[in-house]
Amino acid sequence: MSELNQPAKEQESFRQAMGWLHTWGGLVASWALFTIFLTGTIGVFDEDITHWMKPEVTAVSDFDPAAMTEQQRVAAIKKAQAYLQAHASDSHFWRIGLPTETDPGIRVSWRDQQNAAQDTLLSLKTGEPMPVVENRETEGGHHFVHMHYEFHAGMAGIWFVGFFTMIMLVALISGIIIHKRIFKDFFTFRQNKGQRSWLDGHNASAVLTLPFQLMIAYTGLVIFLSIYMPAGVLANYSNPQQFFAELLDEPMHRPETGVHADVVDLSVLFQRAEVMMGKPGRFMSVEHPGDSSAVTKVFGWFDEKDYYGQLLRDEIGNVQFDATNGDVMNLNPPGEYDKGTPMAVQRVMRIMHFANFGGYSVRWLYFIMGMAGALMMATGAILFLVKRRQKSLNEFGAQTARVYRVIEVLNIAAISGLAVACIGYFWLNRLIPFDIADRAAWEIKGFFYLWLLMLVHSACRPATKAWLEQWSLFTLLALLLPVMNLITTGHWLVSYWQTGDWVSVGFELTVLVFGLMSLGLVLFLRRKLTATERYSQPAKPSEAIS
Amino acid sequence: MSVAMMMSVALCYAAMSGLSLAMPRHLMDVTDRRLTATQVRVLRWTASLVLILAYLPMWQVWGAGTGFVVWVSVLSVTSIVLVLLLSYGPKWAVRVAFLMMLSASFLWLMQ
Amino acid sequence: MQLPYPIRIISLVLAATIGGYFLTSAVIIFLSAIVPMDKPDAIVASSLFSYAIYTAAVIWIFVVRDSKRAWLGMLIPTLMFGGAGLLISRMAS
Repeated sequence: MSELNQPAKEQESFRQAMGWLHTWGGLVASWALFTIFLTGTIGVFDEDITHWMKPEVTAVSDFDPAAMTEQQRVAAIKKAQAYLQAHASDSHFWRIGLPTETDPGIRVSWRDQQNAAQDTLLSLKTGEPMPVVENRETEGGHHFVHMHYEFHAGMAGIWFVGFFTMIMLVALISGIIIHKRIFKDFFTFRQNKGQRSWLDGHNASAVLTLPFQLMIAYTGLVIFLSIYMPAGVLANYSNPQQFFAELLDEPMHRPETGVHADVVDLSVLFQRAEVMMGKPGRFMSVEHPGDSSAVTKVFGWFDEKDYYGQLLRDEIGNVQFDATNGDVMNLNPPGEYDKGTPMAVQRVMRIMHFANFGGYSVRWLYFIMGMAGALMMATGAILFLVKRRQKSLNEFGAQTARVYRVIEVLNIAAISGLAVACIGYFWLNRLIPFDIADRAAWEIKGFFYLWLLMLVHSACRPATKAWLEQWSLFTLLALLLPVMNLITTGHWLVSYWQTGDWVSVGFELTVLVFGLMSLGLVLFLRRKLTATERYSQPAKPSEAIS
Repeated sequence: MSVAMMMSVALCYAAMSGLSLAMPRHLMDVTDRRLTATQVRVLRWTASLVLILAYLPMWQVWGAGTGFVVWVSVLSVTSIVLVLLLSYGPKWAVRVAFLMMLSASFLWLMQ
Repeated sequence: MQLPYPIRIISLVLAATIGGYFLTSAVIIFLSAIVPMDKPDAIVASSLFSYAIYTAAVIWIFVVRDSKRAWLGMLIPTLMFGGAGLLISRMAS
């Protein structure tokens, strides 16, 4: 008899083990992953958000960057170099970006002595930094992208994100393994049934978008392949720079020599590059300006419309020069991809992650699936506690209730708290004065302070009240955003519609839709709150597992 | 949204709703009628065929590879809409399915 | 399900995160050495599989759930694949 039982028992304990792994791995990673997903999903529309966050730019410019003449582009490079020579002569890296639609000036960036990135926008006419009233300093939608892959924490942030994304892969696979009726339950969502509903919601958001979830996690990790998995390179090359040179078929990176050498006239090299590539240039970089190892690269023009539908993009083209004497070091002509297949695979995976290969249709599809992914994590984290409120599983002995309370506080702060911080970021964009130094950094600091405030709030309030209050705040901030915009800038949804600024219309409408959804959530939570109050004593904040 | 995208969305939704109604638990929410085993099989096969058809406009507009990626995405998103309708308004789920089939035929004839 | 000893869990988690990472690296080194492509291409091709290998290793560790087997299961293949890979690439160059 025991032999007959054995296979069943083994299968059962295999399932239990995968269940344990999914539950605990999933929970521990849920807060970081929810953040990564929410900010990444919002970041799909980073350019559009930046457009809304820079109302002066849209008002001022009728400027079409593609219509610039060669003379104008060359003149822009000259002005940029003059500025950089004057203000960043001892920097290790320069970048000059020609005007784009959201940046109607010359974007010059450099790394200062502390290796921090600095940048400013120069006026095309004067070559001097544009006055702040014409160009509100903001990181715009790119803030969400930076949050998404590095939490604004540089290399440490990139590793942090990579670590939790690996846990996501494990959670996805273990989740598939333990999901007994994956096909039978495919379309199942039973509402109003408590724990059952939370599980259905978690399963539905996960399974219906499963190909996307697996793809987005894996491709995200592949983007930073050379950072996360350097073993192959390190085992075969004593100098990793040689690996990149061989892979990309380019000259090797030259280390600094310490010997001074002037940078030649970049505009001449820029012109020469345009001739060699047969197309206009878009931006150029200078490595080690002022050193005898200085190298400059001119990159060819590109437009998203050129890549519509392409998962493997044509090369944009670039030319590399010795910046001390103008010698050509390398030409990568624009045209069809011509390097090896493995790197093509990596590039395809990269494009698949970025959602910019198919215009707005693909962006919206990714936005919806990304939100579903965020929902998958949120419902998972909430389900963990819903189940244990029915009956504590006592995983931590005497400390269990306290651990559950900590998890509860983190859930509220990570989910509704983050939502409040995100909408608050847009409010800060309109409320922070123009002339504050490091204005862009203050918007981001405000985002983090708001989030921290929500964490403190959720630690001090009983759970259901905390959820209700934070979602109420989100609802208020979201629904009032267009009005606040009207008061602070004179523009809003209606005026955007009238002037045909569809990007801003889309932004405000989306915010309103989320505001209405959270209003529904607030009404739901209020009903739940009054129901609980009617039938039981209000719990003290410290032991509220209500 | 281009015509091809609209057609694919319509066909994907219709196909997925067909597949869902082939399951007794979802059919129950919509109607008291029961389907015979043969009817279920026919429904499944038809829905699967419509699913494949939904890929064709994607192939035409985006190419085979990108078209596949977009097709899978459309499947996911239409399934989400379907699941919400099945839960909050099952009869509407079916009405929308018929509407989608009509729209898709209309769009195809208009080409 | 409760695993009885916190130490056991910490050991498994460490075997998964650290041991799994080294195992994955070793397999990449091995694959890069034997895949018949130009060196940089071979390295990229092998590395693309890394996250799948890592995930499989972590899942395996929590299937066996035994601390000793988990660590041995990470260390022995790491030494084998890593050693063989380094040897082959030294010989080839």
